[in-house]
Amino acid sequence: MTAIAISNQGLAIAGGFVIVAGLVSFALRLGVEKKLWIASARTIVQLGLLGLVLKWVFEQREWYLVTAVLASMIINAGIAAVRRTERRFAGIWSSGLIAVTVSSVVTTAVVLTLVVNIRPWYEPRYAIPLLGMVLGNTLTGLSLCLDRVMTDLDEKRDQVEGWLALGATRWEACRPYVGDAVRTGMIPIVNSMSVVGIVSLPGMMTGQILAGASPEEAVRYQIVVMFMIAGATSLGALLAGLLAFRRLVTPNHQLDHHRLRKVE
Amino acid sequence: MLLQARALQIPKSDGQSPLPGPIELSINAGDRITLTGNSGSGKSTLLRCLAMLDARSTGGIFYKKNAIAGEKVPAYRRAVVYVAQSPARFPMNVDESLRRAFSFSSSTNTFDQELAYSLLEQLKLPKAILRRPLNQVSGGEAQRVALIRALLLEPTILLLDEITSALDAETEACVVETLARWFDVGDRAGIAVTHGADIWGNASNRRIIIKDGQAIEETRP
Repeated sequence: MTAIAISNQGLAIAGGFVIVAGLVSFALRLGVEKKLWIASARTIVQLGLLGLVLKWVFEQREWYLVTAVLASMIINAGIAAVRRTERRFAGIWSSGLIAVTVSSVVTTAVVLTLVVNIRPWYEPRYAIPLLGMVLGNTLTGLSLCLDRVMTDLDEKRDQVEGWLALGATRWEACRPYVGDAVRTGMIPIVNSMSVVGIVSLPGMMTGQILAGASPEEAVRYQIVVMFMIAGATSLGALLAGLLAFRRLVTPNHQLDHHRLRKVE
Repeated sequence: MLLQARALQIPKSDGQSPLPGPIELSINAGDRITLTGNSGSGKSTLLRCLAMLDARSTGGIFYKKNAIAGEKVPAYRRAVVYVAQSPARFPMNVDESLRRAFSFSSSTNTFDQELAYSLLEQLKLPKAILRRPLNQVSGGEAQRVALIRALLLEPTILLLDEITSALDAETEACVVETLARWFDVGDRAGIAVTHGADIWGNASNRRIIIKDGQAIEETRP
């Protein structure tokens, strides 16, 4: 059993929802019509291209093609995670990329090889959506953590330096703030794990059910995905926090807040 | 010689430096140094550089003839304690803020409850303040708590940055007396930025003026 295909006519009808949104904006003079048209066009073009690329990669089933797709997804996610933050330091891009790469690759690899047990590991039908889901859902936590650690080390530097002045090592002085940042990054996934299935029906599960999977099967996949995201988020947030910490303190146990600058 | 700073300075960035230097400074046991200079001349920056808190500073810090860097820094900062003019309001109560430094790996002594009570009394603070959150005490109380936090470490050198700026004359006299008592024990030294009253209670033996980024020792007539 497979999902019923959506016709062009069906897509056009769905496009009517965007027109409704545009009319609301026009009637209330919200001024977001133009942005809305552009965003809708982007949705069509981006997803259309993605569909073409995925179709091709699924047909080829070559490990290097799959790897290239996975790598570009990871790089995009790393850039997006850093972009959402309000401050920068030299090395923030590589820090964000390392955190995203390690956290998503480790969890996805475990799920592909040990949980789903798919052969070969690069089976695009599994590897691409699973990594995509991890990336999309860890992004927020990771950037929240990165942003928080920079904000705290900047705005609460009197506290950090206060402890340093009393003989704290750089880690003793910064640990509470790095810890707070990691906690902040984990809040979204903890929240969504506690309400999943009650107030939200996850997209992946919905998709599988639409595609004809039994609800029990879809639920099992969803549980694995939620746990994956939780693991990847905590790992990614911790890495991002630690890397930012390493960059912002010196080996002489000094906080170098001059390395931080706000994004205009 | 207890402490020596060699070629201490902050290199220019954007054509300016908060402490152009280079500054040569030696502190001997028994020194009670008064540090003066116009506002913005770099007095606070010099004290922060002596405590190795400014990441931009260059030059050498030698404590008891040892070059201080890397893993030696935390223990050095316990011996040479910097007390800021506006102490940080750590998110905890006063008591916890006094004890926390004794959980650091550089700690060589333990929290002395009797000494803490005695310092509170000397500085006219009630014991009840211990249970109050640090962000709810007044500016003058926070300054005295910060001084107690520093004195509990039993440092050898104190770097004091206008630590009585929020105190009235009577309370300031208590601080002067407390510092004089601290001085009575062993080979100690202090350098203080003061505004108005002399924190060393007329016992100051050296006076250093920061002018144009240089430390000028004022010789007595």
